[in-house]
Amino acid sequence: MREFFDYRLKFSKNGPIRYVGHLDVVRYMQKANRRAELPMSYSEGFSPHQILSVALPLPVGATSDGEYLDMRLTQELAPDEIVSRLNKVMHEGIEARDCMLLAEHAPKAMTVITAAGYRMQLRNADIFREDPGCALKDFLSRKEILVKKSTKKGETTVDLIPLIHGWTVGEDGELEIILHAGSRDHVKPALLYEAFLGSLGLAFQPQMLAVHRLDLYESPAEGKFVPLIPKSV
Amino acid sequence: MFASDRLALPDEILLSVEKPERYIGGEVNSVIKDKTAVDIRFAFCFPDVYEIGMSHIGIQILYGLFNSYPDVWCERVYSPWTDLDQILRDKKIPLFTLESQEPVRNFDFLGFTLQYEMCYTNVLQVLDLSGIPLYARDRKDADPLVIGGGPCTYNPEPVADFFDLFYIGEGETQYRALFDLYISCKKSGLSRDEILAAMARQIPGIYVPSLYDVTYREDGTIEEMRPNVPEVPEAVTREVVRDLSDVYYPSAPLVPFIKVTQDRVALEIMRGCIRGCRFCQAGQLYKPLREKDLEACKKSALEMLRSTGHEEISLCSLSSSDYSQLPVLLDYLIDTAGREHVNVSLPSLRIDAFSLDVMSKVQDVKKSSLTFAPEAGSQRLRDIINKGLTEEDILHGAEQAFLGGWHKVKLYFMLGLPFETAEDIEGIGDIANKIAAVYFDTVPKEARGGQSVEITASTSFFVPKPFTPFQWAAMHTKEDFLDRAQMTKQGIMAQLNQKRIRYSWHNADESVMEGIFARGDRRLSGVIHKAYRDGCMYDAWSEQFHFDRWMKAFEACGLNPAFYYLRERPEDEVFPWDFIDIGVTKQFLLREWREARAGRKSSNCRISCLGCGAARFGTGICPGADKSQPNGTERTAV
Ligand code: SF4
Repeated sequence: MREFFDYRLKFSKNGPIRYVGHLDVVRYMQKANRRAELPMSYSEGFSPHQILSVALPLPVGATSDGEYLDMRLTQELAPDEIVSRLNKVMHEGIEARDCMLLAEHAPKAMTVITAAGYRMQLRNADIFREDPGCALKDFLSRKEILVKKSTKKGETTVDLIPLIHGWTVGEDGELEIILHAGSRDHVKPALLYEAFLGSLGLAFQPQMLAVHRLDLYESPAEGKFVPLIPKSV
Repeated sequence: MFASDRLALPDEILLSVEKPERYIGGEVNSVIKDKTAVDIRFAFCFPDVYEIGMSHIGIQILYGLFNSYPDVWCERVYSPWTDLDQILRDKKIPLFTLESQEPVRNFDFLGFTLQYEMCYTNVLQVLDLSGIPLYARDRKDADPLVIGGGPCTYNPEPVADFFDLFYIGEGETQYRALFDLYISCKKSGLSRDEILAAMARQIPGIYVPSLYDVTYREDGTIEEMRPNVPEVPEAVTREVVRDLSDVYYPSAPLVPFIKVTQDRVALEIMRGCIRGCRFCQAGQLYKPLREKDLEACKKSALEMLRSTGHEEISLCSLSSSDYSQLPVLLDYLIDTAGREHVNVSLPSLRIDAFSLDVMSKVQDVKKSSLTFAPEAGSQRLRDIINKGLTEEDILHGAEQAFLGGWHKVKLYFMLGLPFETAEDIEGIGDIANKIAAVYFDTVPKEARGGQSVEITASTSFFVPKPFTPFQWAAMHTKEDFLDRAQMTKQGIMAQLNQKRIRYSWHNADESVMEGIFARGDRRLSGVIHKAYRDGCMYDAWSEQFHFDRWMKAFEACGLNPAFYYLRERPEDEVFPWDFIDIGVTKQFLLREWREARAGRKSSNCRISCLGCGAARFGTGICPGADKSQPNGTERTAV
């Protein structure tokens, strides 16, 4: 008999709630789980807390259709039921999309992530003299994109090209891109745009960039990227 | 890909301010209505930053109550923090409510809850950013009616010029009548002034400052305050809820996204207090003590936990130890908590065997601390302030707690109480030292687990408040206060166990300002206006508080701050707040003031009635109480 059941929940975050920070989303989900009366598993001690973890924090202001949360329940429930119970108590903008039961001792989402998909666009395209879409295509087609990244050990230089796993640029300069993500060589969306604007001699500020996360991926094989909850067939 | 959503502020602004969550609304249990389907739009403001305002239970109650009326939509607004404040001014963006994100100035009412005096400049900030004239006399028919409520309205005079009306007393009873009257006045096309006069005449508890004239004597004190139109009451009586178990209480309180000061379910278990501590305003304002019955409390607790998903619940009252059903209620909550992983956060309870037992069930005794509020350092002064806590109570409580595993103790005192002497101040160090000694005597070295007793003593400076026996008392200068803090510190340093005692004290400037406002009169409106124009705002935040600007504002207005706080008032002085009838009579307070001077304590309502005057509400603990009467004052015939 299993003592507990680990689930992976996929949810979206859209609308005004995009301004709710990562830790507050965690608190929000804890309260939603309680309102949904899910049989959550709790830690021991005087202030017990739910056993759950978010796969990859989303920057404040970004929207997403691909957020993931691993959480531990004390009873087995049908994944669909978890989704529907949560959606009954969710609020504007956060919606449970999918759920799956994980194998016993399965690794946590945050450890298996290899990439994140984004749709991004600059808010003030008027800073460009030419078509921003063309400039972006040229930039991403380079042989190498060297950026400075500050790590715990100090500043290092990284080439972004091997960390980009596919992209398309739409007419109005809207970029869809899959960036390397996870504990090693994580590429923040802002880092890419900082480099892009820098290459044009322009300064970057976070509020210039609209970010929408499409999904998070793991790699069952080198060079292959599948969503953390594979699309149901 | 740019979402066009309901927000008043564009992304560029929201991403450039600290904590944008403060301005987006949309919290769980917030209420959205069809604005075309309501008659009244009410903007409710707590004039401080979101995290403070959202923690306030009074707003939660009235927000829920107003929105339970189909024809009213109540929304919230808080003071924008200084970063957004500047942006709104620069870009001329009108202040908006959180729910609809629409400009406050389009509302029918703008209500402020005035919880502390130091928020007055923030009231002006909110009016200003909303584009509403600061002075009530400059407002036009299309401007919202600006209404005030909350504890500071028991002396509303310092902000009288900025408000169209005040609601004096507990909000649950008369707002429905007020709204009905507003709707009918609007239908008959009455002007702003006519509406206000009708409200003052017909709705109990309503005070319209412009309908009263104040005349002053040569010495600056009030000669008299009288209505300047007929049929407006000379005295405004506080509104009182008769039956707490049968009055609206929110079943689904708002759940903020940000971690606010009170991130938990707040369960009100009673109003009022049996203890007549002579410094305490709340103790007099909310008399008589009324309990909410046990079943109502249990039901309310479960409903709120279910609808919010909060993981913590706390009890709300002035003195929870006096709640007659406390052991049963706590048992119930701890039991539920055990099953549902809810933390029960205990209010400050009187330390005794019962409370220690309860605390040990819900807290980690090694980490939590015991709180005692002796308020004064000697028994003599504790008798004067009528604080019924003896040194023996404290030492005995501490001993039991140390045996139970606690080792942290917090002590709260006030400095500058009336009739305070050097010995009273020395007593603070003395009692802290004795507590440490009790620890060393009680807990043998081997049982200390490498820890030792930690005592924290804090002092605040005493501010005399209206409607207390100390309303006649003089306050002290800043220098005098700081001398007293210095004496306290030296008194502690001189103790044998001084290494185990930490001492902290409050900012004296802020206490002085609070003291001026607390017992101020109408003339202070000019000072507040001037100080706001000179950049004062968020005065409750030490780092934003500019004492010098305030002193300059006094000078510019030709008023002497000393008049308001340094004088002991003669017994027959007419006070600015005398026109309010809180139930407790001025004769009773005067008798208590004289008893204090004589060093005599008084009883409490449970032991024997003191005849304070509140019995006339006919409810609660008072002799002859009858809860079967409807809540609130009978509506006077029109
Ligand atoms: S009338 Fe008596 S019992 Fe009632 S509040 Fe006053 S002192 Fe207490």
